[in-house]
Amino acid sequence: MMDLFGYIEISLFCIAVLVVMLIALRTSLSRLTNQTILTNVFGMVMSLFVFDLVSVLLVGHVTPLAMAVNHFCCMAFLVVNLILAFQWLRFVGYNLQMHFWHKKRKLLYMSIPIMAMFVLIFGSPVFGWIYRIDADNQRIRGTIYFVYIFVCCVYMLATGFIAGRRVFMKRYYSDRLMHVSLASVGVLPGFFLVVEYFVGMLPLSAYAMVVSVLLVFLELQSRMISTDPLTKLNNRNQLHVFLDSKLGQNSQKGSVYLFVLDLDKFKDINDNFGHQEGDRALNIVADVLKRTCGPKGCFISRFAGDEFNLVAELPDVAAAEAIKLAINYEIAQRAASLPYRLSLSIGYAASIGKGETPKDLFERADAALYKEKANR
Amino acid sequence: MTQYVTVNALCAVIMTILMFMVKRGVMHEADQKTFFNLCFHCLLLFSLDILWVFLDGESFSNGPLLNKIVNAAYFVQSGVLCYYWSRYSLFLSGNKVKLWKVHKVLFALPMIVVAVMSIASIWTGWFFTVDSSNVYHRGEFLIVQVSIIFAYLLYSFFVAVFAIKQKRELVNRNKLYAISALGFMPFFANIVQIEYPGLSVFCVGTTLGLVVVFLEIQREMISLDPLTRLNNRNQASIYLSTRFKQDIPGKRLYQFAMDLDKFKGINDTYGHMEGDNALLIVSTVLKIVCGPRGHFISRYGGDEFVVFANLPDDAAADELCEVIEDRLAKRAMGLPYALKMSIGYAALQDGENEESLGRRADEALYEIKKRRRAEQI
Repeated sequence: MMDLFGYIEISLFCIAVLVVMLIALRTSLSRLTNQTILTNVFGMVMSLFVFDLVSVLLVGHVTPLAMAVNHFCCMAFLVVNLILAFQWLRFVGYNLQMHFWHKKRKLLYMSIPIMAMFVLIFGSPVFGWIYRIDADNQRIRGTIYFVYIFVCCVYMLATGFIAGRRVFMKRYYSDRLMHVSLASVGVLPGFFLVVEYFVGMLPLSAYAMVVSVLLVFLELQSRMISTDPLTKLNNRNQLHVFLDSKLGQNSQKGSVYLFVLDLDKFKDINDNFGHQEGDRALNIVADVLKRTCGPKGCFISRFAGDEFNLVAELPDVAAAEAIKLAINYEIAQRAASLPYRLSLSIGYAASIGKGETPKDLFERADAALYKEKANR
Repeated sequence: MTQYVTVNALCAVIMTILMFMVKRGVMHEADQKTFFNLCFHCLLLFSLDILWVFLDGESFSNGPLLNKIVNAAYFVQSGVLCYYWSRYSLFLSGNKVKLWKVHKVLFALPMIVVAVMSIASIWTGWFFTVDSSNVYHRGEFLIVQVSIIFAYLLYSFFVAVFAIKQKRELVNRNKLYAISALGFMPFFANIVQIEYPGLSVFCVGTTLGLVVVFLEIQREMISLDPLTRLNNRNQASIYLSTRFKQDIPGKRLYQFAMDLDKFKGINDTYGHMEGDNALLIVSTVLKIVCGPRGHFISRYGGDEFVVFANLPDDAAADELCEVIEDRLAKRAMGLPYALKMSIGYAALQDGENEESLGRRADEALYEIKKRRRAEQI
């Protein structure tokens, strides 16, 4: 009895998470390009849970009607699951702008195994291929259930593969997390489908679907937030907001330091090695800043072009100098393997307490930067 | 038992995802920290819960002691979590910091009581006992823990409800609804958990609440201008594209283009902080005037604001301009500089597109600016 409650609870929870996401998706004024596909996917995952629940609740009811409903639910569950596996593939193809997504014929070829599976599923009530329903009106696996698992897995792993491949490509460095989350929609449910096959009573792969849908949705949303699209650092707006709030309050930790960082000869990199390489250089700098300054609680942003900013609360000038050295050291380490010189000029200024506007602070930090540049 | 572990694990995974997203996203600093902490405390609670399920009823050397320690930790953590939960509710509903400091100790007191009693329970068996076959039983004073947790959650629920009633501005609404869900979900879940103790409903409630809040935070960050919390330019164009598809009988779409007079002068003379303050005053006035009337307000950047309204005729548009200017004049009374806005508007004509509407509104604005300058000279 308790087990049944637990079962229902998890399913309801998953449905609730999906509903919440669906509402967020539909009311979000920002139209995601793939809103329709996502809506369909959410709806289908939800229906999976509903069919599964109904089927489980019908166990023990042996009237002909209950049997018929159970047959319907089982078939619907399997069919939706297959369509989902296929939709994932389409969804990922769409998001990665792959060619097959546009070609009707290729899509048709790819859906042939699904058609075959449909035949097997619809034949199951008579022949018991994929599933059977026993005298107690309980769903049990059919004789060739593994074929179904196999087909689902092939689609899901294909999804995982085409998205996962890009995680390791330098070209798509800044989209890495997007690709990880897209790969997860294939890998996670696929993996749990196999686990489920061997150990499970619970629809683990459906739970995994909820998790990966959540991952993708949150990632898609967070990409729209006002970050700098290239480096995923804060943009200029955020810097102003942050600086205003910091200068407005009295800090215990020391004074507010504003760092202005500038890539040396960035234009040369762009001109000689192309914009892609220039973007990569910017990403390297962003990565170094995240690694060295993030853990210290600094605020990092990309102002524009090759200019970055840091804001930190530091006790004294020595600490500021230490940060500067740490950044330069890390950059030098990373730059060793690059075909061009990559170095940063860093200028900083400390706020002198109340009455100073962000603008003044900026001017002084800029002045320090130009002094530094002139010294080189 | 499988279900118990599964549901906890599922919640733990979702919590981890949220924490990960928070860590690399760009939320406002204070928000980020509190939200992250909250997620972390939830995660800890879920982990302890899972650990307990594995220990309970298993017999091995020192089993009962270990079981007791895990249980004590679980109860301590439940108090800590609810404490942070209420704090987050308070924080989100923007309650005064001063008031908060006075009550700080008082507010943390129940949590400390729960913590002390939980640890004492290892010996006294107040909250729980573990018998010789290593099975958990409820203690006689468990009601204390439950009611303290109840009190915290109920408190955060009322804080949220109160805040919703108080703040009627359009933009804050959704977030406050989310907070109320945040307070309400675990509260409701807790009741269910008492009825059916074998179920792990608590984690479901908290997880769902936090997912709702996180989605809401994300939504806000996508669509709002960080300074004034008004809609940004993106939102305006999305609003327009949906508005263009529908027709409201008897009303026409008006675009109001607004511009602060001599904003640059304020910035240069009084500094950027004061400039921002001026923008905030303007945005408040717009929210007060246009919010209740259902008009769409947005900040296009700098000192440029745009309002979209569905109005019957030009007279109504003129009236709106007047109300805005009046309100602004009242608000600007105590300021050392003159704070005035120029407003130009244009009504949508048949077959017109967004661009041309915007251009005509801008032209109207410049016309007014020119006239004002001429008057001054």
